[in-house]
Amino acid sequence: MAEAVFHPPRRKRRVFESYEAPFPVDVGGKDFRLCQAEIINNNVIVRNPEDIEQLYNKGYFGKGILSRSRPVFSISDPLLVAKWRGIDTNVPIITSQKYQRRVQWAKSVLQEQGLDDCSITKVLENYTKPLGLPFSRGDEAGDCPQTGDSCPRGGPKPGNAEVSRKPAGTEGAQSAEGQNGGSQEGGEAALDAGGGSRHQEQENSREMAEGSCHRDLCGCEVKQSPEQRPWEGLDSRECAPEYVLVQEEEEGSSCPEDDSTHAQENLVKKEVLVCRKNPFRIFEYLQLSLEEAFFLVYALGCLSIYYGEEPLSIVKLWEVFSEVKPDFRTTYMAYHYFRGKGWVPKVGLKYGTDLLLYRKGPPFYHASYSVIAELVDDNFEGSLRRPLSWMSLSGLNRTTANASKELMLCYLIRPSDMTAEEMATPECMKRIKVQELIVTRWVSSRERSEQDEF
Amino acid sequence: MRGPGRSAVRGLGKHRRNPRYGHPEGLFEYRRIGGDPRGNLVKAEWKPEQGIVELKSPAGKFWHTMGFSERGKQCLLPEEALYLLECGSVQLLYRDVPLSIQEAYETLLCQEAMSLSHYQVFSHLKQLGYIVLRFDPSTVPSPYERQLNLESHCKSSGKHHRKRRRSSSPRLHEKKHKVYEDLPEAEGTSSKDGGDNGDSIPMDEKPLSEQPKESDAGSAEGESMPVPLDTGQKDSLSLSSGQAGDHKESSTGTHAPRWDFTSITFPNVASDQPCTLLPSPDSRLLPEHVLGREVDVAAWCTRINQKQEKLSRKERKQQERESRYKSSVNADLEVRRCSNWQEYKALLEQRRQQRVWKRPSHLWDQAVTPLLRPEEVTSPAALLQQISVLQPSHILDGASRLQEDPEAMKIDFNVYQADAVSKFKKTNPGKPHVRMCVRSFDEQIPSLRALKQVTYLSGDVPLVFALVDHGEITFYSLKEFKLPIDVNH
Repeated sequence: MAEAVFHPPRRKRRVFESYEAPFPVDVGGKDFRLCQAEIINNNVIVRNPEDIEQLYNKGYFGKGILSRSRPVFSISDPLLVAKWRGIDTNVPIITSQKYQRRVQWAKSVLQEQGLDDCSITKVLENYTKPLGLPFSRGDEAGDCPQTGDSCPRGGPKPGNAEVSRKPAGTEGAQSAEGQNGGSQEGGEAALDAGGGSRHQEQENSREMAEGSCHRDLCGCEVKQSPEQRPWEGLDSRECAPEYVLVQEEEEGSSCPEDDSTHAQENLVKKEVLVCRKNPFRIFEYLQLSLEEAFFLVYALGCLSIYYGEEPLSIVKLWEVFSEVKPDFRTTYMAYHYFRGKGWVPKVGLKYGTDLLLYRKGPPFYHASYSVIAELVDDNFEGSLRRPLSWMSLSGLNRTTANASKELMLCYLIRPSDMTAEEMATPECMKRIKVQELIVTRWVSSRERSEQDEF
Repeated sequence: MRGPGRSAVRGLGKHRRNPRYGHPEGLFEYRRIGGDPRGNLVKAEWKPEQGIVELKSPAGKFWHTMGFSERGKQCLLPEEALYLLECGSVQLLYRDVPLSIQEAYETLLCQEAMSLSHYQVFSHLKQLGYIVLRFDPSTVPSPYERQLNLESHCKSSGKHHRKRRRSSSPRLHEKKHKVYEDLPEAEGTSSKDGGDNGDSIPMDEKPLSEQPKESDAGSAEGESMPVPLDTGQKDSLSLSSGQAGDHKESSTGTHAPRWDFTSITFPNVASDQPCTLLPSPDSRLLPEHVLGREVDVAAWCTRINQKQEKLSRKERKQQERESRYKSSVNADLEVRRCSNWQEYKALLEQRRQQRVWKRPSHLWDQAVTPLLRPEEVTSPAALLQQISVLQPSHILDGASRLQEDPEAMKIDFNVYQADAVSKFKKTNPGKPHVRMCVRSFDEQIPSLRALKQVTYLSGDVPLVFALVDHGEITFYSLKEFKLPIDVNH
């Protein structure tokens, strides 16, 4: 009886990431970090940005809810970013329409809360007023507060609100509108609030928090002030406003001294970037599959899952997850087994199977195996989750092979004397055996057999 | 019309023509696969009572790989005869009338052992040049016999030993199975087994301050690798495997050490406590005819390079870094006070509990706690080991006890590669390249149970499932696999 040959996984040609660690827990336990997650609508969500980074970077757990895999959601418009290449900033750049849409959403949210139109307008005007000055191409966005950074870089300086347009050669981003590069001093132009802008921000956010305390305006998910948050993981950063650069049109004339008639003819519409606060901030969270979440709690002990404000124990999670997903135990055992071998299992939904196995992680190698898990008893029989005919196996094998993967059947063999009580805790896994099988197609034509695949 | 011997004509069974030729020449109008164009047609007669075909004239070249002799006559199995008929190499007669191909299909393929789909697989493989024989379970050597290298002995008996059953006592069956089972795992993927072997040394280990050099005796017995033996040494195999078995069993129970290590000293010749005068060893410890003497190695030490190793800058820096975090275990006085491994472990446990570590109570003060204790693991491999609680299983585990099942799937063919034709001997075909099970596309894939049964039945020859769907044949196999552990990234 020949065993299937192990084919080493193919490395991806371009790897953009660097490998940090296999798990969010280090050998020796130094720098141990306990991450937090909550169960919302039967999904496990991680909100703290540092936890998200830790869990994704070390082991590729979870998926950003607004991204393909790694949580990299940004409202920044890539076309605009390319257009304003000269400005070195990581503040998102969006179009004016997009910004206005957000203002509208914020408005409707405030309306739902029962505020009258007058105060809504006042609140929004105050919140969305421009900060700093419009940037033209060639300006540095040095002082616009960077996203996620609560202290503005370069520090606000009190000063006049005018931009001195001294030509300064920057990267030669001379625009078609005939802009000269903005000056260094242009960048130093003050934020309105001057030295107290930081306080202003906090005031604003508290205002928002008290007035509406809506999640979008100030980032609070729940209707309570930040201090009452039950767990300490949640950053005040979530409450800090997000800054964006809005591309707006500013009418201006190149010759201010001209009289009005000439001025009208020489009207030049120039596009500038205005720094404003985003009134409707969308947060991206990390969603963990049930298997990933349970593994982090049970196998590694580095995650706490809360339901409401209650942290759940391991046995309770086992029970709860089994109710949410009837086959959870089977798929979890397969997940645990492959993690225990140092491979990274991700969801196999796109290929019609349970798991996709990656070596090291999705950014480095193409997935090698597509796994179907089944639970059987001591007599190696059981009611199958996916009874396959040879026809369906053939089809499944074909699609798997087309994606350069191998189809694997993973049988979990449970002793027949295992009671339901025993299965009510994850400790039952100690008595469960795993049988892996690889499905291969044998080609009968003579050339193939000479290659000695068997 | 294609030349002989080259084409693989598909759909041979789909002949639409249904001629009834009264004379042999009519057969030449069919497309031929292989066969002898100068064709002295071999005459053969279908014998329904025996379900075989008897040759009436001497066989041609096909006799090298097909057919058998019975009671002095040359015979063919129905599928062989039908294939040769389609090749144009034989003429099939029934009640003195030549059969057309259509009639031959209807007449010869009425047995359970050789249905239409079986024949289609047979024909497909034959056209590709393989040698295809029917499977006979009694010719498969048991794993035990294979171990003893009895294969050549077995095969020479050929088909005449149909009634011979594999004879192995149940106990040996178990032992050899256990030994066989260890083979894939000895390749290092299962850490559990490795640990087991280590534990089979039932002696207490020395305290840390000395340098214990444990015996080779323990490890030789602890390994359960099968030893290749000649046929005649059956007894010694059972003895050593019995020993290995016993050894394994005794490791779990208490076992008084044969040696009193408090009175035996092992000299420490490491650089930290150079011991240059080695006394004469106790003669009781030495094997017969081996003399020991006292030795003074001081003279040798002067000849050994005792210069300080010159480290590169990088190495020095690394050493500095490590010295900040690491310290010699022996430097710890409490550790030195431990006189055996047990005490050391108890000390570790005590320290672990004292450690101030913020462990959330909802995880740690419960009946079930997390698996990983990060402070206890010293390497990524150790981390994986701590969280690996599921045990691996091999396809043949438990397969032997499933053999008595009458409903078990049957293997249909032994297939030998075309390259082996020149050396092929019908009386001693040797080990096939693969074995075939013919199934239909609408069937469910075999359960794990059925797969184990049939894999065991196949011995050490790979098994392939041939799926027939109206003349189209696809082949699949479900093979045992163990995903390797990936630790070094």
